[in-house]
Amino acid sequence: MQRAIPRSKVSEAVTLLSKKYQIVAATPKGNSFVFAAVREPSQVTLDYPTTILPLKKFFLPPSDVVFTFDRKTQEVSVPELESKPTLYFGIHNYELQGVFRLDHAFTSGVKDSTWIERRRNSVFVGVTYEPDSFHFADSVGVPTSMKDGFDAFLTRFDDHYRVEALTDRGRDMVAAIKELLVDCDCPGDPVVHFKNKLKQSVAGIREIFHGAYNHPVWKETARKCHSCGTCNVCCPTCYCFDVDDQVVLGTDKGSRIRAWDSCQFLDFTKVAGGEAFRDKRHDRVRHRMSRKFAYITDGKGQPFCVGCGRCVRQCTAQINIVDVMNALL
Amino acid sequence: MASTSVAARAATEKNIYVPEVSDLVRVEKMSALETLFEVRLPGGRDLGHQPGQFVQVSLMGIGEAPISICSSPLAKGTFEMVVRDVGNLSSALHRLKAGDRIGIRGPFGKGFDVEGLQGKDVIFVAAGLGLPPLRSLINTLLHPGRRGDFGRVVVLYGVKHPSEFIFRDERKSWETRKDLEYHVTVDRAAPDWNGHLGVITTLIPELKLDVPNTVAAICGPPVMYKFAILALRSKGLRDEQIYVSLERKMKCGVGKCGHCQINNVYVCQEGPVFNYGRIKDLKEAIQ
Repeated sequence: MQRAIPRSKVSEAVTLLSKKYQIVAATPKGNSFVFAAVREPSQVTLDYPTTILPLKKFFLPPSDVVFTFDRKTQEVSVPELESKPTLYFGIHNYELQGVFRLDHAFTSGVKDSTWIERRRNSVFVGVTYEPDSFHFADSVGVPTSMKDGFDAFLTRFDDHYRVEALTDRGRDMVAAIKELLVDCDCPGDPVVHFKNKLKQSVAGIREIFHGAYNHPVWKETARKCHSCGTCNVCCPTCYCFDVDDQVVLGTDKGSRIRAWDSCQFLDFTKVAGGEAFRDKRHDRVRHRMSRKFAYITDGKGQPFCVGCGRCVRQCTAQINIVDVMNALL
Repeated sequence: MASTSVAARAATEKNIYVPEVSDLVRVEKMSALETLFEVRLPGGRDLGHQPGQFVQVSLMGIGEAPISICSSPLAKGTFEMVVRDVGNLSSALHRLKAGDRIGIRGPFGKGFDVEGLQGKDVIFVAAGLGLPPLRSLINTLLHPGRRGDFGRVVVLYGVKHPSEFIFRDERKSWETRKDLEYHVTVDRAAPDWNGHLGVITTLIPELKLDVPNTVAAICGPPVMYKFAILALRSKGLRDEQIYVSLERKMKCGVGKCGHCQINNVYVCQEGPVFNYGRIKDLKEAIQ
C-alpha cells in the first residue's frame, strides 16, 4: 500500500524533520514566493508556481566573501565554510536539475571548492507542480514525472501528498514522519499540460543554434530587450560572476567579493583598454540563449535551461525565450 | 548521480581564487604609460609557464586583472610582465616600487607549443603592447641553449609613435644580433625618426620567406589581426601556420566566470594563444 501525508499535516512533518536538518522551503513573500530557511513550519508552502530566485542562491550567494585581506601586508584569510545538513523541502524537479547543471559547471575542469563545500550535506525532497503559462520544463527534457536526484518525493492528490522514499536518506526521513502518514491508493502520476511549449524536442537544438548566428530574431528580440540582466539573475543555470574588492572605510581591511554578473551588460566583456567584445545588444541576447542551448551542456549533453519559466515571468520587456526559440525551429 | 558525487567530495579542494603573496623585485619605467614588473613567487619558485600564458595579478583593495607574462620560462627565479596604465588595477600597480608585494594566481590558459616550433622559421608580428606576450616566446627561441633548435627568427614590431617603444635596451641588442631579423615601424614619425613609416602590416610584403617551413605569431590591438592575417596569407601562409594571441576580459582564469567567452570557447582555458585555423570560423574572435 502506498503512503501519503494529508496536507494539514505538512507543517508537523516539517517540525519533525527540523530535528535533524535545517529546512529550506518555498515561503510566501508579498504576492510571490521565495526559498528561505524555515523558522515557522506553517510558512512552508508546497503549492507554489515558482520562487523569485532559484536554489543557486544558497550555493552561489548573490554576493559572497571569497576572502578577507589586509592591504598593508597583502595577506589574505579564507573564511571557513561549514555546511549544515540542509533539507531543501518541496522542490520542483526543474529546480534540482538547475542545481545539477551548476554542479557540472563548478566541478568539471577546474574545481570550485566553495561550490563543492556549500553543496555538501544537501538533501532534497521534491514535490509536483501545476505548470502555469510560464513553465516549459517538459520541452527541455524535464518532464513532471522526473524524480532524479531526490531523496524523497511528494506527489499531490487533492488534499494529500503521496510520499515516496527514493534513497536511504529518504527512507530515514519517511520513517521520521511515519506517525503522520496514512494509507492511500493513489492513482498513477497526474497528467499535466504545459501551455508554454517548444515546437520541437530539445534534441538537435544545438545544431539549429550553430546555423542561426545571423537569424533576424536576435535583432528583433534586442529591440525589445533593455539589457537589465533580470533573466540572468533569476535563471537557475546562469552562474557568471564578477569579482570586486570592498574596503572597510578608514582601515586597511577589506573583502574580495564574488557577485552575480550579467552577460547582458555592455561592460561584461569590456577590457581595461576600453574594447567591449559584444558591444551590440543583439550579440549579447544571442550569446545568452546560445550559451543555454549550444555553447555549454552538462556531461549528458543536456542544455543549460531547465524550463522554470522565471526569465519569461520576470522579463522587464515581456520577452519569452520559448517564442525566440520557436522562431529558430 | 551528480548530487552524490558533489555531496560526497571531501572539503579538501584547493580554493582556486586565492592568490599567492609575491614580491616585486624590480619596477622599471618603459614608456610614458608602460612599466615592467619583475616578480618573485614565494621561495623563488619558478612560475612554470608556457610562453603566451598569463597570470592574474591582485592588489588587495583594488582587485585583480589578467596580465601576460613577458619573460621566457627559461629565465629562472623570477618572471616579468609589462603593464599599461589604463585600468584601476594597472594604475595602482604603477604606484608600486621594488620591495612591495602583490598577489599572483596562475599561470593560466594555453600558450605557444614551443617544441612544435622546432626547425621552423618563426615570424612575430607585434603591434604596440602586443610585444610583451610575444617576447616570452622570442626570448625562448633566442635562448643560447635553445637557439639551434629553431630556424629563422623574424620580429616585426610597430607602434603608433616612437615615444611608445618599450624594451629599448633589449631591442638595441636585437638590432645587432646575427641570429635575429628585426624590423621596426611607426605609424606617425617623430622629427628624429629615420626608420620605416607605416602600419605594421606594411612590413610583411617585403619579407622573403620559406613559406612551407614558416609559422607566424600575431599580437596587438584587436583591429590589427584581420589585416595582419590577410598580409600573411597573401605571402602564401595557410591559416594553420598562423597563431594569434587574443585579448579578452579574463576574470577568474579557470573557465567559470564567463567574461572571456567567445561563443563556446573560454579564452582563459583554450587560449589566449590560438591557432588561427582553429578559430577562423569562430564568430566574434577576430574583428
